[in-house]
Amino acid sequence: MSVDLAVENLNKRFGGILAVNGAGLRVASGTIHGIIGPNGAGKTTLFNLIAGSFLPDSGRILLGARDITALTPERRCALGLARTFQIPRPFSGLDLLDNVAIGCLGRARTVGHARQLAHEVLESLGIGRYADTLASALPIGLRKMLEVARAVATAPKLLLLDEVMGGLHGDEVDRMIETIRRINATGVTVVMIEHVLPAIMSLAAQVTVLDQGRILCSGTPEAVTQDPAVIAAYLGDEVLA
Amino acid sequence: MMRGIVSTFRASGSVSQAIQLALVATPLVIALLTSDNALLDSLNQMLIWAALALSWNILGGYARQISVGHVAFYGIGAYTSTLLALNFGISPWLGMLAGGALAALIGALLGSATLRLRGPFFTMATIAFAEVVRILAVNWRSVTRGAEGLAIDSTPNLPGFVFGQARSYVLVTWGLMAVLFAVSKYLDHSKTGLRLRAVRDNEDAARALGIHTFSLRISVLAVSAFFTAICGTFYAQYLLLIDPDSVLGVDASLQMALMAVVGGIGSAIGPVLGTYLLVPFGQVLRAQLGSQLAGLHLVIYGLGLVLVLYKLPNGIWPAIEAALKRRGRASRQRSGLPEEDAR
Repeated sequence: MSVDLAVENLNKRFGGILAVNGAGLRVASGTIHGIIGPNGAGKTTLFNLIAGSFLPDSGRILLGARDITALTPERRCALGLARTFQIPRPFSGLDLLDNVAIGCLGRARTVGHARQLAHEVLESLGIGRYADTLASALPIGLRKMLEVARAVATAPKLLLLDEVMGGLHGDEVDRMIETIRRINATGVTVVMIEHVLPAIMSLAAQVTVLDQGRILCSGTPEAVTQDPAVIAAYLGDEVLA
Repeated sequence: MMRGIVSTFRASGSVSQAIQLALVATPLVIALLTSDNALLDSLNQMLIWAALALSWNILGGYARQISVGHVAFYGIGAYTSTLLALNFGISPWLGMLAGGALAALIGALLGSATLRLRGPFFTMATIAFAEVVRILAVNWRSVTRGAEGLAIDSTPNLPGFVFGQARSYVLVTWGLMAVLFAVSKYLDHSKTGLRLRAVRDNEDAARALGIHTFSLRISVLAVSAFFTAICGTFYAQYLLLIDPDSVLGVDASLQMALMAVVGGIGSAIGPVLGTYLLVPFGQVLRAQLGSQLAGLHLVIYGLGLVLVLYKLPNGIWPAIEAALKRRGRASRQRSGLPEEDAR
């Protein structure tokens, strides 16, 4: 139930800014792939292009053998692509269970069935006891979990996680790391944008570094964090001089 | 569908459910008890408005697409069944299905052209659409007889959907409203209802979860148009005379939206409650003040609306329901019972 992702020479311009500039990316099926980079590097724009929120000016996106470059987000979802939003976008008038049930609707016969599937998702992520809590009343940690649970509810083959650790406490980060590991263990390919570097280091097999819309480098977490170009991008050139 | 309705009733508080059922049933009880024709007449008008407000609410409330052109579907329904009856002798009972289907089709076409427009732009497109239909009805004289209108033979007969007694009209119109109430309840608690809630709350998130928001809106518009057209046939059969002013005037579009908004959009009972309050209010004002100073009753009517929506921007029913919830919680706390489960 997993799939590989290929992004080829992707470009996206907003007015005078080239937000994504010739980005290319390969994510092997069943792996966890990290995307890091300084603020404004174009990480979220890249995600929005992969998920279909924006259409690229040029380039291609392949999910498995399928060219999804021009598909709507909902079509991409049906093909097994799910994403979380960096700033959680819960359905705030609904409780956690119904938020997740909406993700299950595509594979459920009835609303009751969707809720049953949603319960299973919540239990598997260890947040079943918050099922009846209104989404607007959830603290940030659980909102991030809601984002993940809702995405998992669609039974994805490829999961895009946009800074799901942002704003979490230490033990919440640990729990999220464990959650992602478990999701990946079920065969889901994961691509994650993350600022929490220890999380990336412990989870990702491959890391891609983005800077000013370009791919700076790709490799194992160890190799990437020692790359002089990466250090320069984060800390400035002077450090190396 | 039955199971959907039953689970719906379990879903929210029993007091709220009892009030809703009582509200729906009241006109039926009155109709069975009274033989005052003027009252029955008012009742029938009110029930047609309630059915219209419910039809409008399917799109305006559940999909939050505000149409001010719904009168076009109303007119399409009234004209289709009437023309089929006058020219081909087809019973309006069947003709209204044809009118509903035509309105749904036209609604789907309109939707595919305009539902990508957001907010006020969709609303403006619906106004333009209604105006086109009205001008068509006025000018296509060979078919519609223009402003002169179409008259239906008033000899009572069941296949012709013409009754001799006001009460009979009230009973069938009540049936229409009850069906629309049930459809609304069902829709709200179906998979479609959950999808619509998602779209209402956050469209981007809904799409990311695989909800085809565009086609969902089009189908909801089609369903809403279908029922609005059925209401048009009921109106035509009751008045036995239709003309562009009565079934295609912009007033009716605003009225059905207003009743739903005042009662509370997005719930099944809101539009019903709004109609029950506004129609008698308007009728009483016109009767009391209509002869004194021209337009005074409309000014007061308007002020009443402004006041209600200023105090209760979400409409009247949501305020009642919130009060019931508060009371329920308070009484549970007093009796020391645990909080009622949310589901």
